[in-house]
Amino acid sequence: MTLKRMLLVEDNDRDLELTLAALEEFHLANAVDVARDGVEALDYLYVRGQFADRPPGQPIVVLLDIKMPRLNGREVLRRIKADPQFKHLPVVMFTSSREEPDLAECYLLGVNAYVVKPVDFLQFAAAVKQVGAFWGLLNELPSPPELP
Amino acid sequence: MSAPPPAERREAWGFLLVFVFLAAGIALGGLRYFQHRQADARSSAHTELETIADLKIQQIVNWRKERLTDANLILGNPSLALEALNILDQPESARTMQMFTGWLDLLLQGSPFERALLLDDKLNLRLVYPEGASRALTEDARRSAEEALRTQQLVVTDLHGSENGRQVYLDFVVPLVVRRVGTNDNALAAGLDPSRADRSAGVLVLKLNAHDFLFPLVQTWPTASSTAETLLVRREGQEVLYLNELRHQPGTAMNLRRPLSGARLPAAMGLRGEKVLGEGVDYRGVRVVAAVRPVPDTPWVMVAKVDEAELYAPLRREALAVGTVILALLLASALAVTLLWRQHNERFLQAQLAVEREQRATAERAELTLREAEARIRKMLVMAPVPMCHLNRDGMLAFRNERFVQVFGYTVEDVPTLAEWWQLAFPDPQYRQWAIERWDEAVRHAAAGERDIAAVDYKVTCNNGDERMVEISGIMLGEELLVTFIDVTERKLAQETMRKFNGELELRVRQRTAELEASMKELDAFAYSVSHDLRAPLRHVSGFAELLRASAGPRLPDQSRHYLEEITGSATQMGRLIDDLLRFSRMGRTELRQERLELAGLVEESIQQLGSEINGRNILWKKNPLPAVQADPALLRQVLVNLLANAIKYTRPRDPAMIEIGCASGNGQETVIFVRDNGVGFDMQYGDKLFGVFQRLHAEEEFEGTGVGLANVRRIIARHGGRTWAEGKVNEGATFYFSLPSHQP
Repeated sequence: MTLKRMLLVEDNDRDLELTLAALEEFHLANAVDVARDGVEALDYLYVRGQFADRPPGQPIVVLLDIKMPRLNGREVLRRIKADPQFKHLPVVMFTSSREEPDLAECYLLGVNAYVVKPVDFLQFAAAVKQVGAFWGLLNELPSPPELP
Repeated sequence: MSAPPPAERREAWGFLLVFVFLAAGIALGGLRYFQHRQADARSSAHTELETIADLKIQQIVNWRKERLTDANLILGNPSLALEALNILDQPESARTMQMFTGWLDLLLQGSPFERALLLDDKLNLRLVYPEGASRALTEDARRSAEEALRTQQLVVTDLHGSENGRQVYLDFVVPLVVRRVGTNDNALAAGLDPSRADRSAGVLVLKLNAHDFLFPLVQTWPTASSTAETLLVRREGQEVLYLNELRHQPGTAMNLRRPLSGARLPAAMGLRGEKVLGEGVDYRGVRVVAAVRPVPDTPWVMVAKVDEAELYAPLRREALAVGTVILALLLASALAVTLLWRQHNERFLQAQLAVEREQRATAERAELTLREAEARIRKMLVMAPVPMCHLNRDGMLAFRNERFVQVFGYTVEDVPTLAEWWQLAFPDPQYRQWAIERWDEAVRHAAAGERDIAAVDYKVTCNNGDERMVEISGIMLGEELLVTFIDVTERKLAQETMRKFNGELELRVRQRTAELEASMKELDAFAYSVSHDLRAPLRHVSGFAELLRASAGPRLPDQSRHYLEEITGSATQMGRLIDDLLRFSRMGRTELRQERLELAGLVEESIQQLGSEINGRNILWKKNPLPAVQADPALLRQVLVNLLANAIKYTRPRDPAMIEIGCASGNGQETVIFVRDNGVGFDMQYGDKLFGVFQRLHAEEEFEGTGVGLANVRRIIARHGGRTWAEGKVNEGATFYFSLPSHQP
């Protein structure tokens, strides 16, 4: 019933393309759903708005960028962790910011991992692969509570 | 000389008392002794008197016995009786007379009897022997003769006075009896019964003059004495008759009489049969010591006495002498003591006088000095450079100095009391009210024991209208106040200016701080932007270039592939630059945490962090002992990492590479650490450029790097208050130094 899908929240087209290309290399591209900003991310999770008809099930990991229009990554993170439904969802910040405040706050909010996007693409790809492999294949999740 | 002080007087009385007691004691003692001596004398005198009396009595008894013997001899001689008879028968016969007289011669020759009188049996005087002697015969004698005739016994009369009263006789009346019985003369002598018809021839009265022996015997005294005597007395009725001539009174023999009842008369007491204890009062009324003894065979009593006065005379003399001496001594000592005491007193008083005089002199001197001092002080007060005034308890300004008048312009007439002061100096009623309250409060506090009147600033209006800020304070002296005025107008102004200035300064500081904070925040935001926004396009460039290479790479000509590599490389380089810049800017903004760090441990951590660089390299590490320092751990690690990374990098051509870390001897103020390597070194000419941002002394192709590392090091060390410098020689390695101030832990 639950498909192993990842949620990728990324506003930048190029970044998106690169990330998907990297994931493609490891045959993980098909398992990725994309939200273009924070609002969409939440819509996806709550199965509403444009994602109202999406197949049910929660993603096994949320790859979250920080700097996004409308609702930024931190907000999304906060809401996810605040909601008992999604609290358990592994969230990985996938961002180019290594600023200390960002790091600190995200961990405070309960982020599961914080990965800085390397400028070097090869490293970038490797990072994506590692994240995807870990969260997609290796990590165990508890049985998600029933969706309303 | 004034009276001695009470203490001295008491002393004197004390001495006197002691003296009196002493004298009394001595007197009493002496008296007792004297009395004792008297008693002794008395008793010994008594004994002596007794002895004398006994002696005399013995003599009297002996004498009487002798006379009796004499008389008895006559009595026992029959011849005399016969001759007496012859005389009776032949009275005119001269021859018989002669015979008798011859017999009398024989018997009486040398005997003490004064005369003898022959009486016939009719008691007529027939013969006087010796011839020519007095023929007087007292009545007593006649009576005795009669008795003798009758009894034919010897009769001894008692002492009696003569016819003319001047002589005292003791008669021995011897009866002359012719015994008819036998011729035994012894029988006659034995005194046979006259009833055997013996024939009495008569009596022979032998007269013994008491004055011849008896009285002298009685009257002589064996020892030299002025008052002692012995006397004989006999009782006659209720009277005591003194028999002999008394020493102290003439014409007393057989004459003087005293009443028998005389209580203390020794003679009377003796005759009464009382025991005489020794003392008495004699016939003269003089106190005597007497020994009384009865004379045996007689009615007489012998009294041996001596005047007490005579007895005690030597004692009295002695006592007097001793007494006088003692008295003299006491007086002398008393006198001496008095004299000494007087002297002592005088000296004492004189000393006192001297002291008083000196004291007075000192007092006068002191007063003078005081007055001078007073005048000086007064002058000082008057001339004091600070306005002062003296408020007495009535609120009168009892004194104000010249400066007061000068500064405020108010004279004595202007401000006689506090009231005028309030009026003139504080024209504004409200302000005056406030001033009065503050002043009263301050004075109250001072009165409560603090003494100092708290200083308060008042705005005082001077006589000429000027307003001056004056600090008014003072002290309480009992109920009066000394008030000082200090003009603080300038000071107040200065204070105000200062305050305003400070205020402005603070404002400016706050503004600047705000500006600084704002700019910091801007910088933060900027850095944040940069880190995010700048990197993204870089990533894209890098990413797509890679994708391109991956997808079309094999089909591309070498040149094109090379161009792609360059694109990727540049993008990566830019990324590194951005990272370094960001780190560098962060360095300046973060807070410095000062901790005590063990450098050795930090070095190990840094080497570990550079593990990837060290991999596969042959590096010889020389780690010298390193001290502890005070620094921010993260930042200092950054410094070490940078320096070590550089050392590792620039020793790449070396095998083995030698990297040394140690502590150089600095002065006591700072700790100097160095990192030395045997790498490619550098040209000292450009040494100062080393630490500049983005400054590099080597081409990128030789050694990668952005040139920010050392700039970072310098910035961090500078923030710690230390210095950075380097030494090097081309191809002979380099040494990089940094110093940290050594804080005493």
